[in-house]
Parts: sequence; structure tokens; C-alpha cells
Amino acid sequence: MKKLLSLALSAVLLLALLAGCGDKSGTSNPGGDTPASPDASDGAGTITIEYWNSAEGAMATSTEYLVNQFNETVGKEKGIFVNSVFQGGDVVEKLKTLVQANDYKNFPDVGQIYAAGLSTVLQMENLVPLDTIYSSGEYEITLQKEDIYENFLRSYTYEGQLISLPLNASTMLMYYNKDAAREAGLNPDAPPATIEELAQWTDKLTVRDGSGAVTRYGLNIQMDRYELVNFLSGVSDTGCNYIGDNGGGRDAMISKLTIGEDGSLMTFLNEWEKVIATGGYKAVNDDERGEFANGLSAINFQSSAQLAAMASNAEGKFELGVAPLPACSSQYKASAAVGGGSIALFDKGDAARRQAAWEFMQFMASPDSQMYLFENNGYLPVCKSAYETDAYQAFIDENPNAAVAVEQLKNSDPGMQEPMDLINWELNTLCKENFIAWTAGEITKQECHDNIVDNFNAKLTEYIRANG
Amino acid sequence: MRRKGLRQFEPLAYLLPALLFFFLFTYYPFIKTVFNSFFLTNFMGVRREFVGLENYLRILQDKDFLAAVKNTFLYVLTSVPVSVFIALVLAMVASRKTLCSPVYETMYALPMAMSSSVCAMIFELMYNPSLGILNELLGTNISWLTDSRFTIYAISFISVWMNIGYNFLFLLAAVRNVPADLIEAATMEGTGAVRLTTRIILPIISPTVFFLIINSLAKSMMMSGLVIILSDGGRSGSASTMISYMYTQSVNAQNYNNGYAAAVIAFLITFAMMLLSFGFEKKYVNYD
Repeated sequence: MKKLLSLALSAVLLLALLAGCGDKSGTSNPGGDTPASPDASDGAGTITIEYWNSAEGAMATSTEYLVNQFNETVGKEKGIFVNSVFQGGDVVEKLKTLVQANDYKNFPDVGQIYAAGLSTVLQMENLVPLDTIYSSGEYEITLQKEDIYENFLRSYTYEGQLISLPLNASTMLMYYNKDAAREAGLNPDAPPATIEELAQWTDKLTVRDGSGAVTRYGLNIQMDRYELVNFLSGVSDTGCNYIGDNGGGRDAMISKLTIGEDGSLMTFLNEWEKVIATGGYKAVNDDERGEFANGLSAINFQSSAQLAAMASNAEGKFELGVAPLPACSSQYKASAAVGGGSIALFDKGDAARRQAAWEFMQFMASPDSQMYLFENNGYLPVCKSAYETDAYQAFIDENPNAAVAVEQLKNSDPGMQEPMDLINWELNTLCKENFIAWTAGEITKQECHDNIVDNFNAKLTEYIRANG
Repeated sequence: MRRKGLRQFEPLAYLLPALLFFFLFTYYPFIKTVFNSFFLTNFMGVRREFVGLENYLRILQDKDFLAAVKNTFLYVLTSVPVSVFIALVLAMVASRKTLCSPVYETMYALPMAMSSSVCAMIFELMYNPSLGILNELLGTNISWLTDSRFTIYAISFISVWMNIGYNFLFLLAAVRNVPADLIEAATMEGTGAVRLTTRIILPIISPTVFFLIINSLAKSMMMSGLVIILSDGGRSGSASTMISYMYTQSVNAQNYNNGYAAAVIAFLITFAMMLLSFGFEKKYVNYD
């Protein structure tokens, strides 16, 4: 009898477990409108929307501040509450998992998307492209499309369609130690304008001990995809190097790198060889920012979003200099590929929620919010009107270093962005490994060139076969 | 008769809840992975066409994957025996119960309670070539995590450190269970410490040692977390293991085709290693 009882009990337990597993995978029809779900609005008619972001560090603090600002001002007035959820470094990866499980119910209303994730997001049936928002007449528009900088608009445009709203835009800058430059007899106010001059600076800024070992590198930069793309951006007769075919993968799916066949990569490598020849260039990122701040290197390249952090790291140690990226040579224009993040709208099957989400998105990209991100995080305002505010002028007057990024943005071709190279991780690995090997003398310049171009194109062909 | 029939199935009923979870989280994904590995799959994981062994043939010619297999073995060979050996020495040293026993037992076992990501971050700072303490103490200038000659050993070292605590706990219990009269008798007959350890203690605790080796072997063959966290800065290929290759191919490169094939090959190799170990068990492990 006892045995029977225990058998029965285990059966009950099992059933309880089964019940626990079930009823979690509800799916909804992303296309059709349904009444607002009960959890979306409370008794007072407040609509709660979810914002998935990948904001870390200082950007996390700013995101929290802006979301709270929205909830207390516009949100309170219009009955919208934004619930901000940090989803790790890559929101698109999480969205992809939902799509794979056919679970559209758990999608956020708004998600933070980087350019690399655009082609993935575009294939999600519940995405509401920005062009639809602007043309449908369903939404209240306070932020005009014309007010957004062309460079950033193109960043989030794929096959002619504007997918998402630029939010946190940045560009790569050169950071250097002005005190070290003075000691080396260089003019700290005339930073290198070409790679050749960068090589001269690297040589003069390098310090060696009695045994000839380097104690301070003139330059420390690990040449990842982001760095290489930026250095290559101006190496073109048109002033705009798309890196890959089909407009860098924005007019249609990218099928190959063009930097090999148009010679731009070799042109750059020929110049970069001069930097390597100094022996004062460190090609590995052990802790680039920490080493720069501690005087172990004199020049470093980082995103403009690092401006505040770089300045505070250098405070009390040395005078920080900020300069635009040097041009490949005097023959080419200095340029940069602007990048950063954006926010996309997802349809939860409810028009009121979509409108509430759009209201929040416009708040985030508004001149006031953008100025907040500029002042606190070094992100470039995405809307032109922000640059005309008194707040902008006052901030620039007090922080001339912040103006460098803006100048670089204005001088760069609006067509120049990071390419939509689909498997950017592969390109990143190839760039990093081959530049390190070339600098260490393990491979030749030609091998570095061929390894990057040929191996990436082979990987891309493989990708297109599985996905095209 | 009926009662006996029911009773026969009783053990199965107890196994059922566990089996259910095994099926859901282990067997089902495993079968699906093997099945998918014969197909061309897109970045969303959707099967496109049957390609037979193509995925396997491709990664078996991929020098990155071959390097990952080699690294995995290097990692297993350098981390598993060392962590069991050091734990054994510590267990022998700590085996006699004294007033201070709880203190150093806790100290030896503490690394067990550290999460691998926390360890990775701490060691990353220590390994930093210019700012880290290791080069400072050794007076060297080695890029521990980016120089391909050192990376895999630097990572093995962390894993040894992390596994010592767990191994120590098991071995301490085993060593303390060795009958005291046996050791006393041997000592009285003039048996030296080395002989005592290899001829008497080791055979008696061999089931525990075997369990620890099998356990660390399986864990080490599947190691990926430390590599993914630590070797991101330098040349990732120089330290990648089979599972970190599977992860980076599937998640970072959006190439499930290479990922599925790598997972199946990693499984087969690990499985073969386990079978081999069980062969040793018959020969060297003493359950009497």
C-alpha cells in the first residue's frame, strides 16, 4: 500500500512539473490589431511599453535618466510608461531567439539596434520601418526626418528603406598626450594630419630604456574592423570608400570586399608600413585606454563616445589632445565612418502601443535628449536642430575637444558608414590577427592584404550560399 | 503477482522526472544538432538543403578548427592531471584532523565557490603585460593572453586554480577514509611516505581519483567560457577550444553549419576519451 502511495505521489509530482513547463510559448499574430493586453495598461489608462537596450557604463546611467525624464514629463501627460530593460551587449541576438521560437508576444516595443544587426531586424515581420511611420499618417510627428543628419540616416537605411531611428552616434578620434608631444619637441597644437606624419610622431614619442626595450609606445592601436574601416574611409577618388560592393551592403546584400580590387587597402598598407617601421607601434590591445592613461603609450584611437572617460582618466596626469583621424596621405581627404546605435519600433498588434512607443522614440532623439547624451557621453547629436541650440554653443565653448568630433562629422562624406558586412565578426578577427602578425614580422604586407580580402570573401560566399 | 508487476516499474517512475528534463535539455537538442549537421542552415537556424557530410568535411579542413582540437587536448593534458595532483598533495597534508583543520580546509576549498567569469576578470588584470602584477613579479614582459605561445597555458593555470577546491574536498574525504590501522601497521613496519602513498593510499582512494579525472576530463573537453572571456583581445584563434569554436561560429559568425558539425565532432572525441578512461578503470581502479 505504501509503495502504491509513493507511486501515486510521484505521478502527481510529475504532472505538476509538466504543468509548469506548459503554456509559456503563446504566440500572437504580429500583423493584426488586437485590443490592448491587460498588462499593457492599468486602470487609469496608462500604456506600459518595453524598451530593450544594450546600454552599459555611462550610457546606462544616461539611458536611465532619459527614460525617467520621459516617464515624468511626456509620459505622465500622455499616459505612457516606459519600462527599460538591459539585454546585454546585443539586443538583436535576443530578438533572433524570439523569432526562432515564433514568440512575437514577448517582443519589446522598442529595441536598441546597431548597424550590424539591421539586415537581421529587417527580416522580422513585426518590425515597423521608420519610413512607414513617416508616411502612414497614423503617427504624430514632432521630429521631422529632414532634421536628422544624412550620415546617420544612411547608417540605418537598407535597400532604400529607413529601418530605425538614430540614437547614439559616434565617430573615431585620435587621442594624444600633449605633454609627451612637447617633451619630444613636437607642436602639440598641430597633430599629425596624414599617416606619414603619424609615423613621424610615433617615432619621436617612443621612449626606450638603456637596453633598447620600449618603455613608452608612440602609438597603440589594435587594427580591428572598426579602426581599419575608419582609416580606409577617405581612400577613394570620390572621397567615400564603401569597403564592399552594393554601396557597402546598403543598396543590396554585400557580396565581396572592394578594398582589394580598387587598391585602397594596399594604398593604406603602404602608408601604415611606415608606422610599423618605427618600432614604437604596439598592435595589440592589452588595455589600450589604461595604458594610454598611465603614460605607457602616447597616441591612441577611440570612439568619440569615450571622450568623457578619456578626459577623466588623463586628469591630473597630462594634458589630453583630441584630433580628427589623419588622412591616408596628402592625396586623400581625411574622413571617418560614423556609426553608433539606433532604436527600432516593433508592432505588438496594438495601434495605441505603437503610437506610445513612437512618442518615446522621438523623445530620445529630440534635441534636448541628444544634447544630454552629447554632454554626458560624447555621442554626437543626430538631429541638426540640436546644433543650433544655445546649450550646444555653450558646451562647445567650454569643451573645445568635443567640437573635434562634430567637425569630423561635417567633413566626412554623408555616404561613409561602416559597411553592412553581415559577418562582421569574421572581418574583425581577420583584421586583428593579420595586422598583429604583420607588425610582428610573421607575415608580409602582401600576405596581410590577401589574407584579409580573400579569406573574408570566401567566408562571405559561404554565408551567401546559406542565406542568400 | 500483480503487485510484483507494478513494483517492477516503480524505479522507472522515480527516474521519469529526471529523464524528462534530460530529454528536453540534453537528448532532444543533441538529436536535433546531429540531424541539422547534415543540412545547410541559414543564420536563423532554418534548414535549407541536405548536404550530407559537407559541413564535416569543411571544418576538418579548416585550420582554425584543427587548432581548436589541438588546443583542447593541450588544455586537458595540462589542466586535469595537475589539478588532481595538487589537490591530492593538499589533501594528504591536511588529512590529519587538528584544531586548525576547519580553517585551512575552508581556505583550500574556497576557489570552488568562485564563478568562472569573476576569476577570468581577476586573472585578466593579473596577466595584463604592462599593468599586471604577474610580469612585475617575474620581471618578464610576456603578453600572456595574446602571445600564442602562452595563451593556452595561461588559461589552463586559471582552470587548475579553480578546480583544486572541488578536487580537494573529495580527496580529503577519501584520504580520511583510509583505515587508520592499515597506515599504522605499514608505518610500524618501516614503510616510507612515498611507498605508503603509492602502494596503500592511492589504490584505496582510486575510485575517487577516477571519478575526479572523468569529471574534469568531461568538463575540460567542453571548456569554453574562460577562452571566450579572456582571449577576445588578441588572436582569438590561438587559444580557441572546440566548444569556443562552436560558439563563435554559431553566434558571432552566424554560421550554424560549422557550429553543428563542430559540436558533433567535439561530442565524439569526448565520448571516445570517456570510453578510454573506463578501460583504464577496469585495470587500475580498486573497489575492494
